[in-house]
Parts: sequence; C-alpha cells; structure tokens
Amino acid sequence: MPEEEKDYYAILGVPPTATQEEIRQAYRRLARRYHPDSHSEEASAEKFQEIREAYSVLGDLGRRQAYDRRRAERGRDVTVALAWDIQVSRQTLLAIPEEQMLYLLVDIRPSGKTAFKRVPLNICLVIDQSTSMDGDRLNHVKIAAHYIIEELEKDDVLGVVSFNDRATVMFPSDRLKDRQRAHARVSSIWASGGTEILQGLRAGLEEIRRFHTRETISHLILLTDGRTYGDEQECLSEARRAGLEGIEISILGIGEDWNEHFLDQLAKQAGGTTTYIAYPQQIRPVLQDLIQRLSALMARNVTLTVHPTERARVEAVFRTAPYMETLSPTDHTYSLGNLMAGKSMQALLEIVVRESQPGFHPLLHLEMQAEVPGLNRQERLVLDLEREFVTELVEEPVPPTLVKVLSRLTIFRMQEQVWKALDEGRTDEARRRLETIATRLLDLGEPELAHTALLEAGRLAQRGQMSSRGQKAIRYGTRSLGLKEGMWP
Amino acid sequence: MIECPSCGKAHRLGTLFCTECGTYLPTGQTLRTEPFPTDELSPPRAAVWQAESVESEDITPYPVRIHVLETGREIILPALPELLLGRMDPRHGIFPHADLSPDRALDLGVSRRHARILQQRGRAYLEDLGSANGTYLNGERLTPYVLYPLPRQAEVQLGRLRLQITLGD
Repeated sequence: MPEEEKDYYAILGVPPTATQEEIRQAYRRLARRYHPDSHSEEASAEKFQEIREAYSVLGDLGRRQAYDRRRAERGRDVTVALAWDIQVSRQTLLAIPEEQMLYLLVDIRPSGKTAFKRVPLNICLVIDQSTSMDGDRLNHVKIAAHYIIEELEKDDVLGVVSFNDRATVMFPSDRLKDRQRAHARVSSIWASGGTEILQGLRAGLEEIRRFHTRETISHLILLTDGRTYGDEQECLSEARRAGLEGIEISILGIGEDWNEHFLDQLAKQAGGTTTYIAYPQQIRPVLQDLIQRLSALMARNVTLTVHPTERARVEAVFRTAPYMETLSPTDHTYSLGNLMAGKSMQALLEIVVRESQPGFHPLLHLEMQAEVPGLNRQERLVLDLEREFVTELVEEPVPPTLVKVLSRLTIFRMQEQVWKALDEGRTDEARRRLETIATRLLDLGEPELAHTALLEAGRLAQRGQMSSRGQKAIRYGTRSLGLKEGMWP
Repeated sequence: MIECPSCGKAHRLGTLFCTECGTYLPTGQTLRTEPFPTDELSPPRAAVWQAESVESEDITPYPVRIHVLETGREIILPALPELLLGRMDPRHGIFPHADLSPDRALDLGVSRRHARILQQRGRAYLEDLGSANGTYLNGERLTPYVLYPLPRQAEVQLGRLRLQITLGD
C-alpha cells in the first residue's frame, strides 16, 4: 500500500476539476502571500515549500494526470466525463484608465476518465426528389443512403422521407430489423416536381418524433439542391420547435442553387450544421462522416455562461472548433453544440477590461454546462478568472495555440466583412478584402482557398459580382479552418 | 490604443490581430524597411550569375515551397508564373503571395515588394525588386531588376531573412 499522498488540491485551495489556469492563479496568489521574503505576517518557509510542491505536480499537466489517476484509484473524486483548459492572452494587464483587450481560449474535451457509451441514434433522411436532382445528384444521394442503412446499428432507428411539392414517407421510422426493405424503398425514389422543403421537413419531423426521447440522439438530415419558395418562415419555426424538443437538423446543400442564408439559419435553429457539397461524389463521405460524428457523441448542448465583473465586459464570443461561428448569447449563455468522443471543442472570448488600480482583480465568472447522455447526467465546470494589474507592462509570450486559433478566426471574420460590403453595394471594398484574405490564406498554407479568393476578387473587378460557387467555397472553407488543427497537445 | 502598422486601424491595447487586414500586431512596429549599415552588406555582382536552371519540356510553372529558416514556417505557393515575396501593406495595395511579416520580416529588413520568382517557358528566375537590403541567391547578392536563374533548390536571403526555396513538390 503506497503512502497516502498529500491532497495537493486542498493545499492550493482549488477543486479537483480546476483548470491549469486556475491552478496557476491560485499558486501565484498563495506564493505571494507565504513567500519567506515577503513582508507579510503569514510568511512561512514551511507553508511556502508545501505550496511549491503542490504546484510542481498540479502545474504540470502530465504529472497532474498521473496524480489524478492515483487519486481516482483511492476513490477520492467523482469522475467527470468532461474537462476543460483555458488559455489567456496575458497573465498581467496594465493598471491604466484605458480599455484593454484580453482573449480567452476555452478548450473543452472528454476527460478520458469515464468510458464512452454509444447512445442509440434516431435518424431521418429527408431527400429532395425534385426534377433538378435527376441523374448524378439523386444517384449519389441514394448510394449514400444505402451505405448508411448498412452502417447503422440494430438499436438505431432510421426513417426515409422524400419530397418534391409534397412529401412521401418512403420508409417509416423503425429499428433497423429489415435492412433489405429499407434498401428497396430507397432505390425506388425517382425525381420529379418542384421543391417545397416545408413538406419534407414536416413529414421527417413527424417520423422522428415517434421514437424521440431524451435518451436518444434524434437527428434529421435534409439533402437538397434547391431553394424553397414562400415557406421559409414556416420552415424556420418548425426547426425552432424541433430544436426546443432536442431534435437536431443538419443539411447537405448540393450544388450552387440553394440559398445558404436560409439553410444556415434553418440548421442553426435546431443546433445542426450545413455542409456545402460541390460535387455529388462528396455526398457519401460527408453523410458517413456526419453519422460517425453522431455515433461518437459524448456530450450535447454544451454551453458557456459568462458573467463579467464591473471592470470587464464581453466584446464577442466565437466557436472556433469544430466549426467557426459567431455566437450570440441568450441571457449571458452561449451555445456550443455537441462534443464528440476523442475530439475537442473550442470557444474564443474577447473580453474588454479596464482597471486603473494595481493588484489582483476578479474579471469574470465562467461556467460550462453539458448533458452527457451516456451517463445520463448534466455536468458543470466553473472558473473565476482574475488577473494581476501592474503599473509597468511585463513582456510575456502569447500562448502559441491562441495565436494560431486567432489567426484563423481573423480570416473567418474578414470574410464576413466581404459579404457585408457586397450586401451594401461596396464592391471595391469587397474586392480589396478578398485580396487581403487570399494573402492571409497563403500564410496559413491554404493555397486552394487562397486561389479561389483571388479568382473571385478578379471576378468582382471585372464583372462586379462573384460566382455562386466561389461564394460558397469561401464561406464554408473559412468556416472549416478551425478543423485542421490538433487542438489538444 | 495601438495602431495597426499595415492599415492604420486603431485597436485596444492587447489586441493581437488587426480585424481589418489580419496583421499580427505584436510584431511589426514601423511601416518603412530601415536599410542596414552599408558595411553589413556585400556589393552586388555585376554579371549575371550562371547556375543550373530548371529546364523542362513541361512549361507549366511549378508550385513553390518556401521554408523560412528563422521561424521554421513552411509556405506553399500556387503554381503561378509570377510570385511576389515581401510584406503585406493593404493601405498601399501591396499583397505579396508570400507575406513574410509573421517571420519578423520587418526587423530583418525585408521590403514590402522585395523580390519575385518568375517562371517563364519552363525556366525559373529570381529578381530583386530594388529592395532596401538586397536579395541573396546561394550567398551571392543580386543586382536589382536582373533575372537570375533559380535552381530547383536554393538558399535565398531577403535582407537578413533566410529562406530555402524549392520548386515543385
């Protein structure tokens, strides 16, 4: 029996779920208080030694993980499924009566301390069968559906709905007992008629609701190449209702003719994603990837709540991985979506701070909440961030990951400015911005996307407008810039 | 407040990237490339230097790979007949294909329009664009505005910034 180790968390006065950032913070504060050379009454070499010992273990991620495992074996802590780490652009800020910018990168990931349990899926494919889908598009959608039928597990539920001006339930939602019948029904879908997304959406949601519980992952997947006419508002309110019930909607937009503003919004209402499919051959891999991600779902409805103190305010919040997105809050809470096993999820917070009194000051209270369906519970992590304000600026390196993420986020934000300039008729500005983006993309090693941006800048200069394909490629390409980085060391 | 050295936009203290032009703000202080003292620079050679050039039946340009020795950064440039190397300056409409600002280019004396790589009829050339601190090809300083054959693999120095340039994959 090994000797009982000291409770390092108690020594530093932080919870076992504390982030590296909290541990650093606690250490700095305590070290200052107990340091033998400090003039404080509490100065104590013994106490300081203990603090330093605790920090030498907890401050080092590798040593901390080993220590945590030993603790877990002794049954000390409740095992949490999620962990997070937070990187801040500065350790110290200037005590001046001027606003300063502080960036927080929040990285949320499975803790690796609990086993992953797959939650049964409840999938409904809603397939556009309008005339424009005829040929390659519909054929590849069908091929993709055949793959999905084989890949789902027997506890999973699948439904298939096709639609043009009206909807047909090709394969009513059910556990996959009869795969052959599902294959046959998918094969019998043919193209004709117009596109009324509302029809398909309603029929699909009806199928999905029959098997929807809080213990399943219910996901409607809409595959379409077209615009819908006149029923946009009704579609959005259907999606919102589904979102509130916990049903998600993802969209695969095929070709160039679909309306990205509308479909983006539709997916967003119900916490899903929109993917741009330039070539029909991409349908199968994209759909398979989506199903794989759902099968690996570890936590859902991951949210961040930020309560700044009086000396700080939230300027903007972005999700930077898996997809880039500007987030808007509902009552101080930002929704990040789903977390997959083995993956991490990231948010970047821009905080504006102003404090002219030197010393340690609390800046904000941050809280992460998520639902872990495999363990049937809600998890919560909290952090109170404080910073030291000093009278003379200390040179300190910015964490490299933070710089990397910000450089990509900056490009994403620059392309948002392009659409804004275009919408407001400032073609010249849009062209200039596209050229800037092209150079930045080359910096990042994204020559293809950079090339597209340059081509579109040329189109703007010559014809005063961009191509639909180029717009979609840039919009969805920059959104995925966050995906390529390994987010966790 | 701090001002973006590239585009002049004002930002709060502590801002890391200019949202207007994407410049990384903690580097890059002034806009002008300061010439180094002359004794540090070797004089340019008068004659065109002959080297093993890239010759090929295939006349489409090669993609170009730049390895920045200072920072270890790899830049992969598309196969274009002309590629500009330098520092980005959106305010003056200068958008190099390879923006070396993140590699401390300003401190190391790289001009905004420093040099370019030309690929014509299956041959590749390097040309100094009258930069403040010169361009070196395998240790030789180039005469400005003269085309020098660029070998498949070359050590190139812009001011004091050292690069390894490779043509093709």
